[in-house]
Amino acid sequence: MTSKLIANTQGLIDWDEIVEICRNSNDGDYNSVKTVVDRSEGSWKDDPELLGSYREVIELWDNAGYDLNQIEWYDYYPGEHFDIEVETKFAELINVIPRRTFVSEVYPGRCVPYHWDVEDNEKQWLAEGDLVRYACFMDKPKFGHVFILEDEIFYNAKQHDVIEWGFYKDWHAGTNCGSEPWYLFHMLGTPK
Amino acid sequence: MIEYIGNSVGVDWDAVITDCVNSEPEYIGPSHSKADNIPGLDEVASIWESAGYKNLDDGGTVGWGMYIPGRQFEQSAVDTFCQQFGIHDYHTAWISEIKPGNFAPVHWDVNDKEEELSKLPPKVRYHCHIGKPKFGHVFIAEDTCFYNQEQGATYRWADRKYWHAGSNCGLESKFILNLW
Repeated sequence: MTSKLIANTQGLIDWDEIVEICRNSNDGDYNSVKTVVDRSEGSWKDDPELLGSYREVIELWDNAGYDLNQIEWYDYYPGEHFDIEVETKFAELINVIPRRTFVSEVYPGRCVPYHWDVEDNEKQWLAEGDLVRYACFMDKPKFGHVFILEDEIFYNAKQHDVIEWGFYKDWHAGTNCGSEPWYLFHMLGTPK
Repeated sequence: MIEYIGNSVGVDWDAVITDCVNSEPEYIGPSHSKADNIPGLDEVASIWESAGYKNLDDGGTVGWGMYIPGRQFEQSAVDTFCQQFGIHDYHTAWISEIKPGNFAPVHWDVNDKEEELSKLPPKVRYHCHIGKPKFGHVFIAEDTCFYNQEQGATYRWADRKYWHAGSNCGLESKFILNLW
């Protein structure tokens, strides 16, 4: 399934301000292969499938020859790193109950390789309704900032454009071969 | 301007890639460092430095394999390519390989003979997507991102000095033929 362009946040959210906040922050949530595995250990006893899913993705990367130490990115959260109002406004625009919201930051020379997002609370959320995933191109287009979703590529996407994914567990990747950090806003939600 | 000029149908690119895979690259790029006194190099090196890029040898992700016709793969592949597209003369040709997780960050190809070349009219450049389309194989030139290109798809650049970059966030190596 392919994604759909469903909305635009122009006039609703000042993304430049959020980009600046993230860029100047020193306490973004650091993610790497190690932190992802460490965190998932916590839910291992409750849900062994979860750890299996994380490991399946990491094994793909390992088998492809990635230097696992070079895979890293930062996440920023509403209410913690930037105003919770951003999440509220965005969720209202697309009419969903937000389940997980974050801004991802990928530095030049870093990529988040081919993967799907394993969600620790997926079963609980699915018991309460469907799950739909969205992304918003919050930053102005810049050289080298690339987002890949299944067989689609997003490059030079317009700032403020919002896409709805074909399926919330679609395989995706991000890479940055430019000269500035790259920011993308994500929301997983339940349609109202 | 970057223009699609056709599909390089006369070459068995899978066989050429196999030749590359089964040999050691001529070298791992980049071949220059900031200390080299070549016009244009400072500009590229400064961008990489301030963006935080590091070469593979220094524990970073910048690096690509360089394969040369007549060395790691048959010269006839390039000859056939040139014949098809009416290229009568060229300065240099190579296949670049970017492995998963590696980068050729934003740059233009600064040449050892840049000082002499700068006195000549701009030279056209060609690139050909010699591998089958695969997830994560990203090639950017100027403001265009080339993705899911059919095997053999060939493009002509009006100027070899266009800024470009390559990245691979997929699961297999990416190969591109370059010629100018």
